[in-house]
Parts: sequence; C-alpha cells; structure tokens
Amino acid sequence: MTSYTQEDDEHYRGEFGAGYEVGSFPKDFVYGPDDPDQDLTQIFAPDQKPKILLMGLRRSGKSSIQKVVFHKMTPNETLFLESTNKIESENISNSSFVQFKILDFPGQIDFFEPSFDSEKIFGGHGTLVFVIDAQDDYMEALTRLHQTVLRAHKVNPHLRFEVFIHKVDGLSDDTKIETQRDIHQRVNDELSDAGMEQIHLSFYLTSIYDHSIFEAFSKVVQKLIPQLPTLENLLNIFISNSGIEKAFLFDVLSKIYIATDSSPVDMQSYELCCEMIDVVIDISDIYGKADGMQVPFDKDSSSIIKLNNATVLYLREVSRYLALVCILREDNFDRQGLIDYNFLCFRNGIQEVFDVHTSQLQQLTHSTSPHLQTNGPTS
Amino acid sequence: MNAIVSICHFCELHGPRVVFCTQAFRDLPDFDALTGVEAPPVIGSRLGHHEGQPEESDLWKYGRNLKDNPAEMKNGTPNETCVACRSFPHTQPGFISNDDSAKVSYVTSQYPLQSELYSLVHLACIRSLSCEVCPGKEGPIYFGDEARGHVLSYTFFLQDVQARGFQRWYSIMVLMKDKMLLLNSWPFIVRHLKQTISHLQESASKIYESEESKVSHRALRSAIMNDNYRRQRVAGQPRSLSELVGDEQVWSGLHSSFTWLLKAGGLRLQERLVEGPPVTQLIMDGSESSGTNLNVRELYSKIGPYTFNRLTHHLLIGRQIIVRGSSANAVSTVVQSLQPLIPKHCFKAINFSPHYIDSASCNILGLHSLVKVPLSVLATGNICVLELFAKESTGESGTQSNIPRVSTISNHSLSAQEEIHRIKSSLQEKEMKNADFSELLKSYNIQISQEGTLPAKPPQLLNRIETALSNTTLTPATLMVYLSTILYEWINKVKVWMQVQNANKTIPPEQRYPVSSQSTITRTPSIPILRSPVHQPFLSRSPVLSGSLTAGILEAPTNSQDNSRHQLLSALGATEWDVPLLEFWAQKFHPNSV
Repeated sequence: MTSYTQEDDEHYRGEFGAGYEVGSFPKDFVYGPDDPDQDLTQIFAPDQKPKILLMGLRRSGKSSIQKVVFHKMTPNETLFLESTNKIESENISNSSFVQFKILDFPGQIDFFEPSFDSEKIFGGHGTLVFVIDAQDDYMEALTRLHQTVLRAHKVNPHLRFEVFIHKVDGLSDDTKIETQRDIHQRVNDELSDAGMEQIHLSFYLTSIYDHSIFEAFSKVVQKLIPQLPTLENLLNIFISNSGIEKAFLFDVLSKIYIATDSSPVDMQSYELCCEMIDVVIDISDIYGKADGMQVPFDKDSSSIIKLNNATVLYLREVSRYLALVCILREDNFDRQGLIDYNFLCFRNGIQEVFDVHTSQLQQLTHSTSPHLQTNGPTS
Repeated sequence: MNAIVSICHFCELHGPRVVFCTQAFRDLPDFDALTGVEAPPVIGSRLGHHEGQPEESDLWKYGRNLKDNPAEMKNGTPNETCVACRSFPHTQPGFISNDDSAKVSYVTSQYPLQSELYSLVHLACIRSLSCEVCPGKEGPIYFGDEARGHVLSYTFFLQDVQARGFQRWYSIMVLMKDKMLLLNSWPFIVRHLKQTISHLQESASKIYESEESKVSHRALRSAIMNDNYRRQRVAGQPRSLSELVGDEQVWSGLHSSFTWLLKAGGLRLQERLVEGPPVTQLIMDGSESSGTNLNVRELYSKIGPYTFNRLTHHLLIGRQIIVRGSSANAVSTVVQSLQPLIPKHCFKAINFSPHYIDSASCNILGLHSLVKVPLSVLATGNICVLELFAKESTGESGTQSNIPRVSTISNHSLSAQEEIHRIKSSLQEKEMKNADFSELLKSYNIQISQEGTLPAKPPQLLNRIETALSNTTLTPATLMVYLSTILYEWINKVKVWMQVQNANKTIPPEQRYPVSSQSTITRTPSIPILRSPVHQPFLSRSPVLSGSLTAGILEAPTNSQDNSRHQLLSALGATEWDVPLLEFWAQKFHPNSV
C-alpha cells in the first residue's frame, strides 16, 4: 500500500514537476476537505498568551507604534512604512513575565463583519489599544472607537480597553490637555448614553518622538502581568531598605518597564533610565559582544552613571531580558555593598516568582485547565 | 471558461476593493421564453443622447440577463469610492466584446453585474489582499471552497511615489466554481497573469523613476517632517491605476487581456465524460465466489511468487491459461481463484472441460491432465499451461467425485431426476470443499509446464497486485477491496484509451485541437460605452497577448502519430508495456459496452 502512494507521487512529480510555476501551491497538495480557517488558527492558536490588539483608523500610527516599541525603528523611518493590509501578528516573549502577542490591524477593514470570526479575533485574555490621531480631526475616530468598544465588549466582556491619543508631539501642552479632556468627555458621554458605563477606558497621550509611547505601553503591558502586585511589593521593600528613590524593572529589548515601586513615576526619571539602558546596550554591543549572543546583556552587566546633580543611576541585570534601574542620591550610594546585597535578595525573590510561574505552566500543560491564576509568594 | 477575472486593490482610504471585473455571458436557450421576463435596458436613455455611440443593447449581444435592478445593486456595493478603487464611475458595463462564433459576450464592469456574485468576489477580494499570505508577498496563491468559490489570486505591487511605503498592493483574481478546472489551468493562468502583471509593473516603474528623478519624494517626506508641517499629508493620496502606469488605455488593455484569458482558458481544456458500462458490473463481488474458498493469496503462497508472476502476466495480457489436473475439484478451484485478478468482462472461464476449447471462447480453461492441448495452439505461444501434479496416490474423495461432475458438464441433455441428483451431489461437494479444501490442494504440486514467451516487462498492474498479495498485513477482505480498486483504476484508463483510439480513427489529428485563436476570437474592438472623456473607440491591444496566445494554445497538438500515442500513455499514467493489457481489456470491452 505504501509503495502504491509513493509510486504515484513520484510519477506525478516527474510528470508535472518541471517547468511549472508553482508559487505557494504546496508540493504535497492533494484534494481533500477544505480547511479555510487553517491560517486563522495559526494566527490565533488557542494558547494562553494575552493579546494586545492595536486598532484605530488608518494612518493613526498603529504600525509605527509597534515598530518603534518592539523593533527599534527610528521614528523618522516610520514615514516610509507601507499601509498594513492584513492583521500582522507578532509574539513577544522576552521573559516569563513579558509574554504576549501583538496584533496590528489594518484600519481600513471592519473586522466585525460577519465574514470574520470575531470570536477568535477578540476572544481570550487581552487588551484592545485604540489609537487616535490627535493631529487629525478625531470625530470620525471617536465614532469608530465607540463602535469598536461596544462590539468588542459584546464579543468578549473581559477585554480591557486603552486609548492612545497619539501624535501629540506636534501639539502645545495646553492643547494636549484640552484634547485629552475633550476626548475623554465625549467618549464617556457616548458610552453612558449607550448604557455601558461599566466599560472602563484609560487614556494616554503618546508620541513616538519621545518616551511617552514607551511609558503608555508599559502601563498596558503591566496590566497583563498577573504577578504585578508581587513585583511592586518586592521593589518597595528593596528601595526602602537600600535608600533608593526610584526603581524600575525594565524589559531591556523594548524598554518598557514591567514594574516599578509605588512612588509616582516622573516622566523625566523614566526617560533617564531608558537612555541609560540604551547606553549600556550600545557600549556592550561595541565592546562586549560575544558570538551567538542575541543581546549583549548577561548576568555581569551592570552600570553606574553619576549625574552632576548629586544623583546616581545604577543598573543591574536581573534575568536574561530584565534589568533593574535605580535612581538614588549620591550620599546613599556610599553603602554600595548593602545595595548589592539587597539586590541579590531581590533577585532571588524574582526567581521564586518565576519558579511559581513555570511550575504553574507545567501544571497547565499537564492538566487542561484553561485559566491561569498566578499568585506569587509574598516576601 | 466560466470564471470571473477581477483586479483588486488595497486602497489606502477604503481597504480592499474590487476595481475591475471581466465576465463571460452566454445566451441561455430561450431565456426570455423560460422566464417570461424581458431583460431591462441596462443603461437606459443616458446613452441615447450620445451621438455616434451605438445603442448599448446592440453592443451586448449574448446572455444579457440583468435581472438585478441597478438600485438593488447599490445596497451591496460600497458607496464610497475614490480614484484608486474605481475603474468606471458606475456599476454598469464598461467594455463589451462579442464573440459571434461562440455566442459569448465578454463584459467588463467595476463590480460583477449580479449581486450574488458581487458578495463572492468581494469576500475573495478581502481574502486575497488581507488574509491569505503568499510567501514573498508577490505571487500566485489558491484558496477557496465550494460555497465561496475557488480562487486563484496573484498578488503584486506597483511602485508609486505617493503611496505609503512607495508601493501599492494589487491582486488579480480568477474566481471559479470548478476547482478541478482552475487547478488544472494553474500553469496557463499564472503564466498569462504574470505577463500582464509584469507589463503593468514595468510601466509603473518607469513612471516612478521619472517622478522620483524630478524630486526625491523620500527626501521631501523627511524634510516636511522636520519642518513640522505634519498636517500636510504627502503620502497616501489615492491615484488610479491608469495614473500609476501612465496609460489612459490601461483598462481597455486589461479588458482584452482578460477576455482572451477567459476565451483561451475555456478552449484549452475540455471535459468529456467517457461512457462505458457501469463499473459495478465489471468487478466480481465476493458473493459469487463463495463456493470456492481458495483465495488469491493462498494460490500465491501455494505456487510461489515466480510462478505466480508469470501466470498473472499471461493472464493480464490476454493469453489463454490452461489448468490441467486429474481432480476436477482442484482444477476448478484454481480456475476460480484467478477471478479477482482481472475484470469480469475479461474473465471467461470454464472450470473443467473434457476437451480443449479455443481461446476465443474462454481465456481460462480447466482440463483433465489426460486431455491434450492441440499442437497448433501450443505453437502460437498465446498460452500458458499450469499443471497440477498429484504428490501421492489419489485415493481421496476429490477424484471420486470428479467423474459425475465431468458428466454433468459434458452431457447437456440430462433428465430432471439426474439434474436433482447432480445438485444434491454438488451441494455435498461444496460442504466437503469448505472442510478440507486447503488439504486437498496441499497434495498437489503446481507448476507451469508450457508457456509462450512473455514481453520483457510486465504491466504496472502486475507489480501492484504482487505487492498487495505479498503484504501479509492486509486482511483477505481488505485485499479484495484493494484489488478491485486497482482494477477499477485500470478499467477507467482502458475507457479513456478506447475513447481516444476511436476518436483517432474517426477524426484526423489536426482537427482535434482548437486552431489558432486568431480566428476564433472575433476581432470586435472593445467599445467604451461609458461617458468618458476619451470617445474614440479603443482597439484591442493584442500585441502583448499574441505571444502567449500561440504558446498557450499550440502546445498540445503534435502531428506525429507516435508522439500522440506517447502523450496519451503518459496522460493515462501508463507505459509502453501496459499496452498489451490495455488492448486486451479494450477488446473484451467492446461488445459489452455497445
């Protein structure tokens, strides 16, 4: 029997193989039942990874955001991006904490049409990020936002909603505030008119020309990390015992911070920390790159930068893609040994959180429980 | 070819849109009489005001059955369009070509003219540009199903200085209901589309380069960015296809190109149902052979692979098989056991005969070992004699029961009493057979004593039969199904073989293929019936097409007889040494099928 199929196969290959323009026509193509959803199931594999859906009107800057945050594209290059014509899906799995998928939608297509499987697109655990071009007339965008939120909420009530008021770099500070207030007002009015006050929208003013997009994305990603309270708690204990003013736990690749202590985030200090990571990565890239390393960043990576306002920036590696960046007063840095010791304790704490996560993942793969509830240990 | 060829564009303002569609319309027999509805005038009086323009109803000669209200159409079609996603400013036909010889009208419009087709094409358009991925982004892909139609989509870019990313997405789709035809026409369609597309791309690149040489749009875009004039949108302004390729006549060119594709694609492949007797009658089903319980595999293991190979080879190519032995029972069992190896119409067996019967009457013959085969028959070489030698003294029931059996066959004038007796005895015989048949056969040595010379190579079918028999993992039932399946397969090949051979006899070879389509496509120039700024009639731009035309149509015919025979064999998946089998089966086929 086996020889029969092989014979035939070779026969046909010899017969039709040469000189044919095949394109994507699969070589082992046989007539069988059609599976039109095959591609969709590949994009939307039923795994547990949370999703970030980037939606919005065309040219609002969705692809630019994705490219700048996750592909290190310079903002000026985004001018030459072509329009996105289909859902671009990308897996971001840098560390055990930062694991999600980004789906970049083409703004021209209405994905709530019955020909699309909205259940698959909008189902699951995730966040819908709606991008509004603040430089344009945003009334059309608001209508679309309203529709999108209502329909997506109908499909998946657990979906979170975030609104990026984007391209604010061209606006004056007053206009920014005014725009945000106006958009917030209108959207919430419309939602309450529709009787959907329970849907909560968060608004962010973003631009790819400064760090606001990273900060906003950090907030979005943090909401997808179930261990966030534990991490924040760990950071609080760490800074209070080491005399540190502010500490960020960074994802080195994307420069989004996945946790910080509970003191308020000052935009300038966040920018400083971002720049510091760039400096460290660039310097190690030039002088310290070993063969086969994807990122020049390992467990010995650390850096101390002293600023002229009696402040010190201190960076230590936590895990492969995670770095802790601290801001502290210069006189507190006298006791560096204490800080290093505390840091080791902190790193061990993080490691334990990892372990809980991995063991849960293993359990998950053994049992087929669909829901993941992670509670990190309290230290 | 019953298909819709359409151009789709990923518009930067509106997303995936259908821009241009070419369809073939045929006259239904007595359409008006069937429905009792007169086809409404399509364009109405609008064209009437136009002097010098022929009436639209005169232009569209065949199959004009627009039942759809233009108003009804508007519901389905998107009302927002821009320059980029529009070819004609309305949903009515833009170009019509009539093929008077085949009574077909090829009609091009922005959207398909029937609303049910519109939704199919629109869905396929979204899939083609926004769902399905071709590796390398540009290239042909296939997708589709029975409900939504089968689609071949060829995606490509056109360069444009004003586009985001400096290029625009287009795709050409061929939508069909017939999957087989579409996939079999794949090489032809793709080759032709590629030509059309590369022509478009070359023109677009020329325009791109000339525009870029005047002023660098890349630099311009950066400069504007730095000056903080962001509200001014440089990129993403819609431009129509004719602007992109710098050719006002591009639509009429595409119309004639697609028209040719539809016409030639239909001429290329023709489906013909090959009639023959229903296959169910052609293969033995298990029920008839219930009397003998010697299956082929037991015979195979009994006589060994070598003998079996030769025996079956003789059998398959139509030699007469003579089984000789002293026991009628054993001989007839062997004869019957060969039954699953050949189709029913080829199986003419005589279980046990007292004298030789020539090969015209039977191809498998059981004889007593004392009966001589005439020398003249042996001399022809069209024979294979299988001898059953008894190992020990024949003191068993088989020999005793063979004598009345012989008499029943030889004496055809038996009285009714004897008839009853015979039936009783054969019933007893049957029971006995079931009990100790394999025992019975064990007492014989079987070998080929005389045979004609065989061709150098056996038919492919023999290899497959042997492979199946030697595969001990197959249960007897599975084996029977498998054997009958491969027989079906070859019966179908024989049908095609006969059909073509008969056709060859009746029709001279050069008339079997469509002649050069220069004569078959009518040279009706496509006439724009829309109110466009350009009024002079366009001439079909065939130079681009004529090259591929000859290549596409004339690849099939060859005048040499040998060559066509070779082509037929390779199309059947057969080889030169399968010919004896094909001819034997076909010859036996003939009287039955007519």
